[in-house]
Amino acid sequence: MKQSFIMLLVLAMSGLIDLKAQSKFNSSTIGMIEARCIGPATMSGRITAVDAVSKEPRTFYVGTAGGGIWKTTNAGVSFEPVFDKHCQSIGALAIDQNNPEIIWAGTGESNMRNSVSVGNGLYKSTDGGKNWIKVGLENSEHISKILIHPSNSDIVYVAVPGHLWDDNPDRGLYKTTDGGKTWEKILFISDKAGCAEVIMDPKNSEKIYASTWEFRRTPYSFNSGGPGSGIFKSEDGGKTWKKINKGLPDGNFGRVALALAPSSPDNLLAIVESQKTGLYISADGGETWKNQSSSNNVCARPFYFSTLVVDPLDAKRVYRPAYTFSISKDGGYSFIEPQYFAGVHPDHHALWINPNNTSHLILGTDGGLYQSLDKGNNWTFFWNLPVSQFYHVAIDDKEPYNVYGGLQDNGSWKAPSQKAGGIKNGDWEGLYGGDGFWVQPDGEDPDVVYAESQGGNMARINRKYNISQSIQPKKGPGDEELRFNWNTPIVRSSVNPKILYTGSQYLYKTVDKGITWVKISSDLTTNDKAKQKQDESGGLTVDNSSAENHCTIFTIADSPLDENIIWVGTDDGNLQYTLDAGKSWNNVSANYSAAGIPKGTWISCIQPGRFNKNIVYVTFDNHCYGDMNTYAAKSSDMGKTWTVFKNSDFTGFAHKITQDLINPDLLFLGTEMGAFLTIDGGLNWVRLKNNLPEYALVRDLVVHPKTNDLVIATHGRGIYIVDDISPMRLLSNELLEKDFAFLPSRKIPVTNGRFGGGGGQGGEFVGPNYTEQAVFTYYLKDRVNSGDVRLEIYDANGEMLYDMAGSKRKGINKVFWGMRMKPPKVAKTGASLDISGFVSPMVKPGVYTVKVKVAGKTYSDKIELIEDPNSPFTSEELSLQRNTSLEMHNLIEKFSFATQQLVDTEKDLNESLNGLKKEKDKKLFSEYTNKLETLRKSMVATKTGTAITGEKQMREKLSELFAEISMFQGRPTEYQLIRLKGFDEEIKKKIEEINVVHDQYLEKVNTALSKNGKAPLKLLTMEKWKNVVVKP
Amino acid sequence: MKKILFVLVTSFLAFQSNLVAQTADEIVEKHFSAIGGKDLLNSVKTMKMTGSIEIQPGMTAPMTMQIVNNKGMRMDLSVMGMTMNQVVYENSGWAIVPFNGNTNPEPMTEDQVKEMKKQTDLTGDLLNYKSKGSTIELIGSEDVEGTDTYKVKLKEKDGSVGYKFFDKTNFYLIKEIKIVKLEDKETEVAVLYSNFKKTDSGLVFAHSMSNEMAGGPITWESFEVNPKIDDSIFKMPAKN
Repeated sequence: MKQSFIMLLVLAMSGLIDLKAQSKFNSSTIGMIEARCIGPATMSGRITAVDAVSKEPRTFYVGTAGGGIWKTTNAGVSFEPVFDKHCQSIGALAIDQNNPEIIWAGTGESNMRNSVSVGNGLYKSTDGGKNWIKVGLENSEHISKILIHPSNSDIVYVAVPGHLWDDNPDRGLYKTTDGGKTWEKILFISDKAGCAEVIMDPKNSEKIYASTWEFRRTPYSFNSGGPGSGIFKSEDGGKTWKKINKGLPDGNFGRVALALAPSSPDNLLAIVESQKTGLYISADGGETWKNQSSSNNVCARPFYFSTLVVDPLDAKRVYRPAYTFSISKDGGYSFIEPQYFAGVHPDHHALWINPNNTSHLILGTDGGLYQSLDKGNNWTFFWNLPVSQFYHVAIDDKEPYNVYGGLQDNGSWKAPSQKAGGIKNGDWEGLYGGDGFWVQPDGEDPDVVYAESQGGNMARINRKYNISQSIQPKKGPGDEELRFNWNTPIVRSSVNPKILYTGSQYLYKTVDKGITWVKISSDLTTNDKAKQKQDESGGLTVDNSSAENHCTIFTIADSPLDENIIWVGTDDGNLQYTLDAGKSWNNVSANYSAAGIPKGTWISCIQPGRFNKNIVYVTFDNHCYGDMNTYAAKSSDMGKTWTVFKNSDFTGFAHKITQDLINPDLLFLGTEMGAFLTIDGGLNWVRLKNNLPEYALVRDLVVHPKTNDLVIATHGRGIYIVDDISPMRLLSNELLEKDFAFLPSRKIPVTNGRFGGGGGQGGEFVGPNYTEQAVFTYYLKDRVNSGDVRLEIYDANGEMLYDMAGSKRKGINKVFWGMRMKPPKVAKTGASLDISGFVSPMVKPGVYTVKVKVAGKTYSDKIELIEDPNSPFTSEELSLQRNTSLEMHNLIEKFSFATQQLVDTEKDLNESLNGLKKEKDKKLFSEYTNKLETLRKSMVATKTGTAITGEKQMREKLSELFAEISMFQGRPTEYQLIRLKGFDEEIKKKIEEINVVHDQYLEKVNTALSKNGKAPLKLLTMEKWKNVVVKP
Repeated sequence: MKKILFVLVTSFLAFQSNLVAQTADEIVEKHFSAIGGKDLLNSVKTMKMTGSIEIQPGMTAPMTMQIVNNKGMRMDLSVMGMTMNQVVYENSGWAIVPFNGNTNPEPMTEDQVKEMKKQTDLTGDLLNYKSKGSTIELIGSEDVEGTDTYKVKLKEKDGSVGYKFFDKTNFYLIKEIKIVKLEDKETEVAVLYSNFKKTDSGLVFAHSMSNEMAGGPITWESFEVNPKIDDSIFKMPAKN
């Protein structure tokens, strides 16, 4: 018995070892603190797969390199992301055309560039992308093609190139015959070579062709080609295979792009990367081949451009989307490029052709998605896919602040964090070309920014004059040839805004905007010559784009507490610091490997402690050695000893760690598969969700010192902003134990809105703004399932200005208040709603009390509203507006009361009329009623009907003026003030008229009532009217 | 020590029990038990709900709903003394929207009638779902406002699809997604339920519900089960 208890204990421990079991903190604690995407979609990102519903192609799906899957049901007018809970890197997509609700998605893009992400398996949806389940191939890392049997939905082939960075057996061609429950590997070459392509003869589904591919990357080299590459044919659904290469070049192959002509399926085409790379065709089902075109675009970067498509109806029309878009009309013998770069982003990867209208093409490129309706001659761009791929993000101190960053293959950009009407495509300003990485705004001159393209080609740009000067440091006397990383750091000092750092193998510093770079280190890398042969890299096709530059500085960070302390990390594992601004350096790389982090790991980010000079946080990225683990660690003794952060929820290799500016225990971590945060210095971590794709490729994280926003750069979903994280700073294990707790938000200026809601033309992406309303933030330990949550807001005199329903979710709640008091109480009468009932004066800046009532308990807190620092109005103007609006509010209540009194009296008179016996009394009552009704009609529009009656009586005119004055924060116009005075007089007069009627009749009526044994008629009083509780 | 062991073991077992596969049917059965039982649910023939809706933050409008099972439904909503009605009865429907001066009843479209008529089924769309030609399927777990729920897909006879989210601790329905097709455009409507109270009838009702599209939350003050409802309230009045 005792033994089994211990067994259970062991099991329990292993299940519960995760430290988060001890903490109330989890992802849902973050509650209503949400991220918003500001784009851009003007430069979209790499598109890897497109598939459409053949019968109804206005529904199609788009797979991206790092932005998940997007679905449109309206031919691209709008797209919805449908894969936000899963891995964002997509290699292949396929719709089951027999049942288009079934979608297969292979994660892990297979365009094997240096920056390619990894996948975590194959997914299937049976409801048009609403829900997905993983159906295997978890360890494949890269999937390039999914092929569904044309008449049996349970049979699916999946081409798996497999791991890029290490030997691994999870690759080859897989087949399921039970809809994904079980998989059989039907073509396997070796641990080094996977399957890159699979195609099927549409007239004979047993006839399958596949290409295999041997390839490998290291951090400093790429190889495409080897004995594992080849073309294979099966005539029994993949049971047996034979190699088909008669007529193809001798020697090893690299990647092979394979296609067949659906209208004449014995016609095969292959671009064979080899000693004689070119297009080869076969007219006999691959038995024999002959050489055709070897033009530039046909042979362009075969490892990266592996797409080749034949028109479904015309066997001679061949498309080669690659560097540019080539078309052949003679079966691949010759190609032309009708649209050489004109309006289409180069670098093409995905092409869908409508089988029922072959003029209709959809093309996926490195810069987004295009559509042609004329067989590829002209293209239109989809302006609404925000799948841009950032590497880094920087911010400035403007109001609203701007974000800056560089994009994969799409240059460097700047955009505002808030903009009237929302952040549109046109609000993104291009700064520099090439692949973009680091961008830094100058610390002093708002017109100057620093940006770069691949390999450290950096420039100082003046936006005002639209000029740029190259400022890349050059080799000095005694230097070795400079080695710049593909993604070379340009870093501004966190202490001194004049200082800018960059690095080759040496560290450089400038204080004069890059005119003079001072070398402040010797070679800080391992300088391993064996890792510096990038000019030989590529394999069969040399590919030296600086992507394999190695033994370089990758990350630079100075201490926010001391500009003489600088940390440097290299791509070959060196972690070094100086205490004297570069005079001497200490290498601590041996120490982190003693803590269990692999030696020689790429140092992806360094965050020196913001509150303690001896503390440093570092992320390590070892994925280039096939190790996808999340490595993030902390040292409290300048790198001597290290604590490695552990969490069972971590996914993806680590890119970035940052410490909050206020709370030292609040840290954010960005990885290739998600963002994580901790509130206890790294003991427990939770995934950040809340509108951010759960497995977003998070490359950079910055906290804004003024707005407390967390700005997130993703490599596939653009920029996300988590507005105002200040409530997160208050989260602690102690607070999480409370049933309820207030959390402060940032102070909100009293404004009726500078940025507006937003909204663009159909088909355009618009990033939303954050609210400009006051925000009440509170924590609830559990969702309120019994009872309601109400908020009441009181001014300094204890008068209740507003009350409303509160939110009741678990974790952080937010309730928004427009900073206005309640609208005036209006009368229940008239032919339409009284607009005044929806208008109210804004409150003044000051301290307000909020009471939150939750399940029988009341919690009270203060909130401070401040005067808008950017208001264009003087305090006299603001105060005149507020007083006038309030005056009108009171005047409208006075008027409404008079109206209600009329209406109620008329009603009472009508009800009493029946009980009267004498004609004389009846006549008296009618007279009274008629006089009141005449007055009512002069006060309120009463005409009914569907037409625009245009009738305006006092009430409608009052409302108009009230709205005009209340909706503008500045001084009312002179005429508005004059009109208000006029109303004041007119209402006084009108009330006098009413009173004259009451004086004339009321007593007589009551005498008559009393004679009839009835209670006297009582006029409605202001007190009674205001206290009436509305009951349904 | 023994006590600690015991705690650990029970927590482990609790952890395990979460892993035990629940079928959609089991979940739905538990839901029915949690809200009063199938017999009680099947006995509901008419219903009157009284409450209010927050049409903008801080501004509530009183509303009532009266339903006769599979026959008719009437909704009344008052703003500033003007009352809007929406009524569906047998195979037709009408509405009065008086806020801009038109006090005449106008007929509803066939789609609107179809959608509203579904709501007259007082047994709901889950009870006796098989006999109604629907299917259910457990999709998995999902976090709803911090609560761990079972997500169950409901596919109705007419092909329409919805999702139901049941609190794993008490099997209350705390969220519902309906996919509404208007013209040729699908829109997801999500409704959150809270403020669960057992009423005199013995049934548990969510007294608060909110939905992004309809403005603020609806708060029900009372649920009268099997009140007398005269069919005359469903008759379309004559035009002015």
